[in-house]
Amino acid sequence: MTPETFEQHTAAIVDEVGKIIVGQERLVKAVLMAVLCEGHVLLEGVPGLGKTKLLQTLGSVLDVEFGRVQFTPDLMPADILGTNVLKEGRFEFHRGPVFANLVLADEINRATPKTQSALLEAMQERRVTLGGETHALPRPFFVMATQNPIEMEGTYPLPEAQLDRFLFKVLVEFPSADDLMEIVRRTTAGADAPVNGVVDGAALRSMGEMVRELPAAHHLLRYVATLVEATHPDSPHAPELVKRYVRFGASPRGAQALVLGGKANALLAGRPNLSAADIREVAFFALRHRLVVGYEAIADGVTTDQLVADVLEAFPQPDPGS
Amino acid sequence: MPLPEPVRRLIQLARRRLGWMSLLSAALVAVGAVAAVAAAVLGVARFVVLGWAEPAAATAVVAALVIGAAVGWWRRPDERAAAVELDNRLASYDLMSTALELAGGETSPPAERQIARSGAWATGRTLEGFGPVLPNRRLPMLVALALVAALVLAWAPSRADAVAAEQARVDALLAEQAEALEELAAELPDEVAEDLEALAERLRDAESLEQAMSELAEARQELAEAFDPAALPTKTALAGLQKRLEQSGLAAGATLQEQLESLQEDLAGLTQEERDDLAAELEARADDFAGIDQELADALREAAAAVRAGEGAEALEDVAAAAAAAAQAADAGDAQLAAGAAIRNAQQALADARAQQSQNGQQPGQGQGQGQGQGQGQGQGQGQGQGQGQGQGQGQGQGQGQGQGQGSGGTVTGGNVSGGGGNADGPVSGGTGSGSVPRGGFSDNDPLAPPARGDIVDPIAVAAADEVQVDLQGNVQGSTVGTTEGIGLQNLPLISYQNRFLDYQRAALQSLDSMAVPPSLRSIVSTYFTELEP
Repeated sequence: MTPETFEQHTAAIVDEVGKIIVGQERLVKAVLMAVLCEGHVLLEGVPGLGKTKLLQTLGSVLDVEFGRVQFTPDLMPADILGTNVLKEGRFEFHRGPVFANLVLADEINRATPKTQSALLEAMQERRVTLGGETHALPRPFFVMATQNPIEMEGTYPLPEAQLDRFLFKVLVEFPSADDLMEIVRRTTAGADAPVNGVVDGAALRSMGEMVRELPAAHHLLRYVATLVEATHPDSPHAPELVKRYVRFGASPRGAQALVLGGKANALLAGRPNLSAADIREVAFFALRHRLVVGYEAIADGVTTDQLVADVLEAFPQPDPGS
Repeated sequence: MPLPEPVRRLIQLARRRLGWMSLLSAALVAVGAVAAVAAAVLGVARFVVLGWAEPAAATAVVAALVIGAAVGWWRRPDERAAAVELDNRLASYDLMSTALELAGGETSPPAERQIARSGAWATGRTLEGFGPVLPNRRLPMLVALALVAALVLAWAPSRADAVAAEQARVDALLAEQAEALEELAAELPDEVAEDLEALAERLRDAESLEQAMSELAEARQELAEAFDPAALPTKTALAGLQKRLEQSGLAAGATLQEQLESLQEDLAGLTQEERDDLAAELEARADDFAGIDQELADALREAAAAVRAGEGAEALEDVAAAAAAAAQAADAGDAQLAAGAAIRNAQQALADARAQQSQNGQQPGQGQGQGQGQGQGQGQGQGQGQGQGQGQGQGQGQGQGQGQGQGSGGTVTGGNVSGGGGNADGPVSGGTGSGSVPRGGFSDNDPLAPPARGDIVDPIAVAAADEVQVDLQGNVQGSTVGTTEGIGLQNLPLISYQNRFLDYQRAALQSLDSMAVPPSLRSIVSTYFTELEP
């Protein structure tokens, strides 16, 4: 895979998604970065902003096996993972929807924690263990989940352990007036435009390898470590807001997400190496769901985005002496 | 894989620029911090005399400049840090630093692409947009402010400067007096010279005028304790003996010893009448030495008897020996007197300096006056007075007042405060010290101190001239004039000390009854003559 091919593929994906999704360039780019990193994404936004539509479109654009699970309170783990069925005197494993390259976990916070946790092993280790047998998941494997932040009744907030497994958490914003007008125009005048699969799984994996091979200088890794360390309230580098409101800082997965996401961001921008700007650009996606805030932050209305912004403000650039 | 030349050149340019930035920044910070501290110290030095403050501040600022610059240059960033800084400042998305890190490492397609891209980016690139050598304008302004503050505080005259100048003047005065003492010490016998040299050293080490005066007073007291009170009368009596022998025409010679030797040789040729006259004269002189030098007095009487009996050569030899011993003791007394006079002069000079200090240090609303005087001739007199004044003024910020004071040891007349009510302080001249001070500046019962009143007859003063006028002139409007009438040196030895003493004592006691001597000092004068009484 050459940089030119990479650029062609990404441009094709964006173009195809753009046939259905209006605006939301930042959202599309974040999801694309997660795909290039073979990372899981949690989309959070109020209903009707096109979260599910985006993921469905992405499933079509990426010429990979697509599985969708609508999470409800009565959803059982077996409904996701699959189950052993007695057939002709012997158990036979029937694979669940998780056995796909791209799994859409719609409204993931509506399922019980037991069901949510069924995804833990799949997301982290990309395999499923059932009845003593381990079943590898196909590669590439992504979980694209959505959740609604305002209808909290009858929902089960994702536990920190599961949140940490998402590479990015992306907040879906309300479209601009122009975009809204375009959305209305497209969705009220006949069927959606046809979307073509432009990148297959093998190409996706090559693109992912290219992301991982992108050079990252030592001082940038130090910068990432400093940023993650600064999210911990007991760290000497922690800014005042973090010390006051954060109970637990980002995990090492946060640092991995910063580097990987930054590399993907650099490649999408056509740059040959990771830069501090790339790290800063993906910092909100990579860190906002990894900070555990205390009651005081909730009471004062302090969001994790404010805390991440505070960390970035405290460390605007890599230290040349590091 | 080698680093492209444009990348290396750009990194080197950035490193050089950063080196200068580091140097300037460190030097400015160091100079600014030291200048601020120096300004604070110089500010304190305006109120407290810190003689070292200005040179120390200047040295510290220069040292801070040099050390700061050296530290800044030593801490200049290395190549890697310069590349990172270059990326940060030129927004090159870490192309330079990553290329520098990849160069020399393992070759891989991504690394090759990165380095090639970096080279392309750096080609023809300059440091435009990198930022000025001076990091910001605030730091130089703060440093300049601190430096200006320090310079203003260093150069603007202050009260402490005046005090320091006064201290320098005092130091110079003390050194001058010490040198004078050492010069005198070179001419005096060892035992007195050593004391003077030690005193000179203590004067040089004195930290204040008061300490120096204390040292002088102490030395003077020690000298007085060692002084033989009979030395002066002995010298006078010896002079009288020599004079009388010279007038008798029986003994020729320039010195008493030569006269006595000549007399021994010529004794055999004298007539009985001449022998009787000589014997009577020797007996009369023996009376002069009675109570002063008994050994010499006895020798003279024995010599007189021997001469009258037709002998006397051997007795005259004894007289010569006793006279020589007495002369030696008198010479020692002379040396002590000379040392005492030198110390007294030093005390006088220091007292003048202190009086000058008092005048210079006049404050609105307070004043000091002092009168001092010194007699002329061999007799010396001194008056000292001190005045204090306070005044209040009225009007628009100006007041007038006259000082009112008291002179220590003297009668001080002062004016009344004129001016009505009002709280404004006005300049007040020092009180007028007008008094006669018998022993101003000397300790009580100091045998080295001359009588201050001119009408008290001092044998030395009498020896100086037939009539000596002692003028005790005060520095501040105070004056005391005394007149001494006595017999000149040519005629002095004809009157015995014992007889003359009664005149001294009578005159002194009469003066005690006058208004010129304050009651508090009358006992001192009385004690003086009681102790001198033969």
